[in-house]
Amino acid sequence: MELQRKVAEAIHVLNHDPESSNRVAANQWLVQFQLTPAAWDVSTSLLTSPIVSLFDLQFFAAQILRRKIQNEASNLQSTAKDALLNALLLAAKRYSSGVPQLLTQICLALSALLLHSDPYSKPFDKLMFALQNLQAHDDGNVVLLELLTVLPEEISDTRHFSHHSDLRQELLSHTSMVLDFLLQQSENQFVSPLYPHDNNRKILRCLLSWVRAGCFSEIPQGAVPSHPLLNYVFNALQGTTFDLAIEVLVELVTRHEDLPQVLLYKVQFLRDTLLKPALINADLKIISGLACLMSEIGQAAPCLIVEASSEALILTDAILSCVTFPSEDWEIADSTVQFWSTFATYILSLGGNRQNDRTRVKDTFLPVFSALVDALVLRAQVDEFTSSDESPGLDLPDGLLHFRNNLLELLVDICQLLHPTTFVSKLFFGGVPSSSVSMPLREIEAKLFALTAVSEIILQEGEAFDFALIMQLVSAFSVRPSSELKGFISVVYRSLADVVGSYSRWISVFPSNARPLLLFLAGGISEPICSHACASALRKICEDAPAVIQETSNLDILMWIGECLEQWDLTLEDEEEVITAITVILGSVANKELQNKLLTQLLSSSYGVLSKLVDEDAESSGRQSPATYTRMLSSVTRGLYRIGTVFSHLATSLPSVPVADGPILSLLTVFWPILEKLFRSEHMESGSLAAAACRALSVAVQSSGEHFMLLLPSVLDCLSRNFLSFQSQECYIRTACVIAEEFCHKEEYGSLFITTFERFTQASSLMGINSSYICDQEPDLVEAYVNFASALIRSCHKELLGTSGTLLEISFHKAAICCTAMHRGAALAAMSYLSGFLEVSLSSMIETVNSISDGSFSVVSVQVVSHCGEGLLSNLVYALLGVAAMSRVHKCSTILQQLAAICSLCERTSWKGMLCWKSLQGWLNSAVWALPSEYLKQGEAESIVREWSEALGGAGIDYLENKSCNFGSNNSSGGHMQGKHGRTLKRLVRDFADSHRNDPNPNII
Amino acid sequence: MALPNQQNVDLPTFKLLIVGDGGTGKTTFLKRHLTGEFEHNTEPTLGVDIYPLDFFTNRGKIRFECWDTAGQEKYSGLKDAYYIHGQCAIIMFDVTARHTYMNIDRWYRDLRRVCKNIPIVLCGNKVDVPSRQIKPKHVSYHRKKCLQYYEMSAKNNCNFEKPFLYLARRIAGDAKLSFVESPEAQIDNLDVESLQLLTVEAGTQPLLMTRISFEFNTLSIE
Repeated sequence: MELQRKVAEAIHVLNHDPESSNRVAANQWLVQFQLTPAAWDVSTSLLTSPIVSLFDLQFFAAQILRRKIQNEASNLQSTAKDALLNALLLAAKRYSSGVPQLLTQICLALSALLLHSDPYSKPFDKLMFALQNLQAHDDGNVVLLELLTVLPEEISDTRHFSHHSDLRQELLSHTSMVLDFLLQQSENQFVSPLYPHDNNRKILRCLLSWVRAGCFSEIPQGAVPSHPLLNYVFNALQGTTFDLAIEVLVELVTRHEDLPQVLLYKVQFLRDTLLKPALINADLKIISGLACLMSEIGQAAPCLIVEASSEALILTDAILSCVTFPSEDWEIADSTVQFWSTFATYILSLGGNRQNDRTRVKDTFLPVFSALVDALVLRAQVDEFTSSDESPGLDLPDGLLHFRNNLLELLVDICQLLHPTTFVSKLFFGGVPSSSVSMPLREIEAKLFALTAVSEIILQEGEAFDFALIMQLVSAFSVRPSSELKGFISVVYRSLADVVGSYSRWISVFPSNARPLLLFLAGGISEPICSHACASALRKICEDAPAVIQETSNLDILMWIGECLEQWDLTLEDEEEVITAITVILGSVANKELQNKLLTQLLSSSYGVLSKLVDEDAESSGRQSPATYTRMLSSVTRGLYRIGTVFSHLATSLPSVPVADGPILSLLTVFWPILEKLFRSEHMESGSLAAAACRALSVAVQSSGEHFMLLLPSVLDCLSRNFLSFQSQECYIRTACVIAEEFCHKEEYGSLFITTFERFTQASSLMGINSSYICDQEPDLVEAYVNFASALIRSCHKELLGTSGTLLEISFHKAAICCTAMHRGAALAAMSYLSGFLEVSLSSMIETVNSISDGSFSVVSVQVVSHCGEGLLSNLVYALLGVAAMSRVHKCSTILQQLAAICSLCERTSWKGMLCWKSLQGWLNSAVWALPSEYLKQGEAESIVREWSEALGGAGIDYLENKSCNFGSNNSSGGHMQGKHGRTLKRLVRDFADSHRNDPNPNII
Repeated sequence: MALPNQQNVDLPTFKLLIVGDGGTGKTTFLKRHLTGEFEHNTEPTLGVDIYPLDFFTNRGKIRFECWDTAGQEKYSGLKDAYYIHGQCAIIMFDVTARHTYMNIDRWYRDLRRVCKNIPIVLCGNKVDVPSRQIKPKHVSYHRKKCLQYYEMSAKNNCNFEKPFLYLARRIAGDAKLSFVESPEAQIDNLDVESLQLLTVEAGTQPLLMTRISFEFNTLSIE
């Protein structure tokens, strides 16, 4: 009793105490309690004791018993189980007329007890025997109904036992008995008028549970349609049990192929008896349920619908009336979309031998789909409340957005069935008998949505239609003050912009359309809700019809848009769309003088804010308020983005022109002096500003090509000096990498890049990388640095590299350390550099052996490898033990093969004194034996050294042979392991990594 | 804006159950609404964490007592024993993991077995992840059960309040109820009495002690 009192208190605290700490304590206590053996007796007592307990307590007791049975039933003796079964049956009988949820919980416990019995003890037979006794009591059927309802549900819940399929089969073997019982219950209610109306719901819920379990698969298929219970379910559609009856029928339709045919014959009954009155009375519940059911019938058997029987046509008509019904939300129409999509797709898929069938079906159902378009577009409108709303920031309701998303594919299918030309005519001309008839804005907006939805197929298959109405709307909006652009008007504006963007290829070719289009889009770009659609449409128009936009008056509008960007505060993405649009047009202007003038004008505000920032002296800059300074930095950042965008798109849109005449050079001569000042200023302390400046410079480099060479010395000087000053900003190295990729192959600038590389390498942040742990602190910096080194090693002339031995050795050493970094990007970039270095080294060494070059770089290569090889090999082994080992197998294998090739080559030459085959073997031996003992199994070290040495020997020779064969054609095959032994090596490496996948990776110090 | 941990004995408070498979983002979803200092339990709690979330509405301040239940089997503590007296619920699934959508029916069934007619919101989480497996048009479960459905993502913050707004409207029976930012806004007080009548609590008794201490070593059969 004391324990019961504690349980009662804890439950009360958990459920009702306002103090969270008390609830935590109660929760913990109860969790512990439910695991104790005492919980069996306490819970059973609470349910069966003559003393009536609190509802909370009884409820908890039933739940505890269920969980204990699920988790601990195997511990119970059979006598204890029998006692528990009797106790639960007693409790079920006792509370059968109480709170329904409590009876449910007790029956769940009973189900758990039955389902966790020994499968061979025939628990269901035992249950049926016990329940037959229950039926002798007045309330026994209530318990039986509830138990039979939860039993199949629990079997389908696979969380609790592993032999549920066997249990399911045994359960279903009692299908006949259960269905007879349900039938009896359904008939008895007429005999006993005193039964509560709720009894019908219990019967239907029980039937639903068994249908889901697959009970009707236990009786002959032909018997399902004529089963008496089906009539019972149909009768249940009239009354308070409608929703459950619908659920049962929907479940049946999706499970039994014969049933759609049968239910199809009932559709007229459904429509005339239930649907029509519901439509008249605006009974949403009935309409929604019937829409769902009829859609499921049609969706389950589209082949029946295409036969166009009278029942099929009644079905489509009925579903159509559900779509048309003007409810407040979009759920009903949305619930039919799957049916229409399935049906339309089915018709479209009729082909081959059924081509004639397809034509016939299309002709038959054209009126249906034609009406469907009207209905869907009608329902896709916003509600009246939204259309009269003028709130700022208004957007479409969530339900409508969801509905429209689901409509997209269906509209495309219907467009194909009706033919694109017909579809468009229906949208805008069939519904407007004369131009004088006004169309509500929300109808227009919905039709614009539909037009955008099908744009792709219309552009492919349709004919260019008359855009007069579209242009009328555009013109009307373009002359409207922007102050009127609010509320739902903004939504219409956006939808119109989407249409313009989708059909820009057709709309923009007419010169007379250009001006209103530009004014329209300019007006919309300034509004947050419309800016993206309008900016995107502007870019498409400019890309599709540059010749038209180039007219002087249009250019004026375009330039005005560019000037307004400052005040519109667009997202960077939208702003880039606008700048791209303008740049595309300006890039195709034939008059060079005009072109330069307009480009300068476009960027003048960007130059202006940049100049203002860099021209102020340090003293006055310090006196500005932080807020002002932050805004200025933000403006400069945005300006730099614009400049970068202009450079980027000029490069792609300009035809090839002589260097001296290009607009890029003109922009460059204006841009770089300002940018140089910026780079040399103290403002570079701002990381975001530095990133924006470097991005603009990178794009300028990539766009300018040869034009940029004159500026190389000062640019590289700026980058290296700034990096030394702000070493946490790796964007300088990234930009230097971009420049190296463009120009490092130019012999006259090679030494310049070497100097830059030297400055980067000697920076304290990079010199300080002595372990993979430190690398993981600054992975972006490491990645940028080794990428720059890779660009250098790939492009720089070997003679120049030969004079930089110390520098290369330091960078090689750092990269070797970073192989074991946790950060995948940094580690793989480091490996790429190492592999690139070794590749170039091997090429040089082969040339030296063949007396093609002087060999200065070859000597450097051998020195670097001989000094760093041992550390590298050790790090490679550790990289294969890390958490990301498998992603590094390929790189490690490649590097190992290259090392082997170098050592093999050295064996034949005068370099043997510095580096030879024994060097590699020694490194491998040291690396493997240095591993902590727990990493390797007994004897594994010996086998690794032996197998890898053998594989490395063959792989090195394979590499050299392939290189010799490919040398004449300069064929690069670095992406694959060389030869048979190379592949063997890779397999060994992969096996090593895979077999040690779960080992921890200590940081290398 | 939700303000946590406000003590107000007269505040209309509603028990909100948050259920769904483990890893679907239930706790992350809740914690987005917590601002300032939140006293998180120092001791690990089995099965459930309870967070109070307050919202200001045009009819006054309300509190959702959010029972964040464990979705993983081995951490689920008392499981459905937490559901009793629940007044509303959110079922969360992850659109990038199909099995979490398939399991919605089980969570729904467990809820309904304890709480008959409470409003329930279905939430599809992580919709900004490119690898989503459950597309919007495939989500139909809510329609069969008359649930409200919302999609969530870390990038779309405004949707995070919609489930709470929907539930608040349903509980208050006011389709025009709206959340407001400032507590100083002109408000009409909710009728606490009528709200509390929406759910009948069976057999509650006042508790005399303010704090309870449970000693595990006293567990024994008497």
